[in-house]
This record gives sequence, C-alpha cells and structure tokens, in this order.
Amino acid sequence: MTKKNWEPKIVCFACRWCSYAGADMAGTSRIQYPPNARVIRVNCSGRVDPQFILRALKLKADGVLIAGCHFGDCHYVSGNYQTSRRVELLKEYLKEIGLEPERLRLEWISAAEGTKFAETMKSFVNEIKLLGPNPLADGGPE
Amino acid sequence: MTKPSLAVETLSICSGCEIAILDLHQALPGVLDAIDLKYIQVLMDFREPPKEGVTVGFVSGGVRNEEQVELLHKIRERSQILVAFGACSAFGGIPGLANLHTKDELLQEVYIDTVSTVNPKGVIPHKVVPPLLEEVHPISDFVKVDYVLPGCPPPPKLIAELVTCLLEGKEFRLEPKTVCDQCPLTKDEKSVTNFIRWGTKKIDPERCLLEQGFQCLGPVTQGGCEARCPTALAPCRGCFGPTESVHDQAAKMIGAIGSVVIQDPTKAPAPEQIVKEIPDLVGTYLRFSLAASTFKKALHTNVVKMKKGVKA
Repeated sequence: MTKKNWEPKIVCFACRWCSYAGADMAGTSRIQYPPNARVIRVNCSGRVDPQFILRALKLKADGVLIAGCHFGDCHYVSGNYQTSRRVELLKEYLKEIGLEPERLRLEWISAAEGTKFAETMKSFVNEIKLLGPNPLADGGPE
Repeated sequence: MTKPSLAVETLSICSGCEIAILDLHQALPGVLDAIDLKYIQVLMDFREPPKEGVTVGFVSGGVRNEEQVELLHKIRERSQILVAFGACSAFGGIPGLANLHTKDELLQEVYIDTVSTVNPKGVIPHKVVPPLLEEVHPISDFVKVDYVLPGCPPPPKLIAELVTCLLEGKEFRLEPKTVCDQCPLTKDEKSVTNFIRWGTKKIDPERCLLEQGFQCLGPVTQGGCEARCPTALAPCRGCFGPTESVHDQAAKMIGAIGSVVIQDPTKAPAPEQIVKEIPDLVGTYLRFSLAASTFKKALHTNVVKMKKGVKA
C-alpha cells in the first residue's frame, strides 16, 4: 500500500453491554462512519488486558479504541473504573516508549448512543490520519 | 566415565551471577567433585571456552557489543546444553534499560556530558574496543537456549537444583507460579487509595506490599526465589522476569494496578493522580525485562519528535 492511499487500521474493543450495542444502534440507524475499525466484542471494557492493546499496536494497528459503559452503568459494577486507570497508565507507558499516546483512546458509549459511536469513530480516524502510520509499521510487512 | 564439564561465559554483566555460583557454599565441593569446571573467567585466565567442547555452557549477561555476539556463538557451538544464567542473559536485565536511549546518546553521556569526565578533545573510544550494538539483546535473540535460570542473581538453591537436574539428565523447569504464590505476607482487601515509593512510609510487616501502595511486581513475576524480597519487606522488582502466561511485565502490572485500587469510586484516586504517583513507569515495571518486552526498546526518533511537540 502506498502512502497516498494509506488508511489507518483501528482495533476497537467494545463492551458487550453498552458500546457493542451502541455500534449496533449506529448500524440499524444507518449512520455513516469510516470502515477502518475492526471491532472486537468483549464482555466488559475491564476485560481488555493491557497486553491485548500492546499486542495490537505491536502488530501494527495504527490506533486502539476502547469503548465501555458510562461510569455507574458497568454491568460488573467497577470494570470501567479499572479500565480508566489502566488506559491512563498505558498512555504514560506508550509515551515513554515513543508511541504517541493519542493512538490509544477510551470512550464511554451507551447502547443508545449510536450517533456518539459514529462520531467517535470519525474523529478518531481523523486524528490517526494526522498522526500517520504506526511507526513500527515503517518498512514492515502489510 | 568422564565427568561432565561446565563452562561459564561472561558477557555484559556485573559478575554477580558468577559469585552466586560460589554462594553454593558447602555444597560447592560436592558440585566440583561431580563436575569438571573448564572455564570461568572470574577464576581462570582463559579468553574463550575450551575448543574440545563442554557438556554444559552457562551464559551470564546480555549482549551489548559485537565481540559478545561472537563469544556467544562460540559457546553455543562448543556446548551441548546452553543455559541462560541470570536475568541479563534471559531478558537483557538492568543494562537492557539502555534501550530507552540510542547508542550515540549513551556514548555522549558517558564520555562527554557527565560532570566527572575530563575529555577536552571529546574523543569517543572507537579503536581497539569492540563496537557497541544499537541495543542490548537477551541471548535468545541470537542462539537457541535450552534452559533459563533467571534471577539477579539466581538463588543458590535453584543453581543446585539445576545442576542436579543436569547431572541426572532430567528436565529443569521452574514451576508456573508467581512470586505472590510464594509470598508469606497476608493478602487482604484491595483498597489502595494512593501509591507510595518505598522508604517513604512505615511498612506494615504483615500485609501485602502492593496493597499497602508500594510498587511490588510480585503478581507478574515468575516465582522460584521463594519471595526473598517481599519476605524482607522490600517490594519485588521482577528479576525473575515474566511468567509463562505474561508477555510484558509492565502491561500486566498496569492491569494489576487498575484492580488493586479501592472499588468505591468516591474514594479512589483519579487516574491522572495514579500516573503522577508512579514516576519512571517503564524503569520500574520493566527494570529487568525491557529488552525482552513487547517493544524491546524506545522508538527514539519518535521520542525526540514528541518532546519537541512535533506531530508526525
């Protein structure tokens, strides 16, 4: 793929109870949003092991989006609080290692917020386009 | 039957691992009766492992320069069984933290910038000394490793166990347990409200150090040391490296920090606050295993760009 028609690859971890349903909502409401994300359904955003995120980035994903329930709505009570701490620490880790922390994003999207899911996806893809390809991908295989 | 022979190769290391062999104390004469020690630089004046080959080769230390790559290949060829001996040869160890900087940055710092250096002409050694590699590597980056005995240094008890296994022709394997599994401190409710650095607060000698807010790497570190640091009330620094199910100690530790904080959201510290309370995140969580972690090194060009605030 040449640099000109480069499209960011995004891995999105969506919580089953809110954000995945939110993505469904975006779909059933026929809201248009960029097709760059590979959405992975997880039971809770708290299930997303930081190792998953690093592995996605290591395998040359240009951005990782984690979407979970709003605070207080977590099906497992405190899963999303744990995620919020982990993501903040991971951003610090990425910064120290030399990857832009903006490549990792955490959003709270409820099952009713199809529009928010689409908007998030749009803005995230735009942001990653500004950042350019994952530096690990330079010269690597597609 | 001739005695099995042993060679110990020393690469980029402090020699503490060799001293750990001497720490076998009273078991040492027995070991020396059973094994023919052919080559160990701290005791003998040889430059390379014996040409006729040895049964077992221990390699201590990571790979930092080109000469060490050569030496490493030599001992691999000349020994039937190769053991990565100590944290440095297994994961790069503390010298592996140099991977946060480029080779040129390191040379500049050591030979020119440090206050105590007198080097008016600004000469960086380049003749006679072997050239540095761009980064520190664990030995498994270059050769096949048969057994790994981590630790900084490996505890004498495990060295004895490894030697016994090798003599009896058995497989040597560390139990898939974490340091926490072997730790005698009491684990209670996870209710950390702030993280503190070791030595800044009085330690409760009964309670789990992580739950007291210290940065203890017990949950993500391979056991086998019988939790010698937490037993002495010093937090685990992770010298045994990641367990089999962990690939990146830092990532797993970040996961643990996320869940060790008190559940009640009104009492829990803000995520930004937690980041502030853990200075030098990579240096703390990947102290021994940066060279074998997910990214292995910092992406230097990007670090510089980010410091300058330039968008890629």
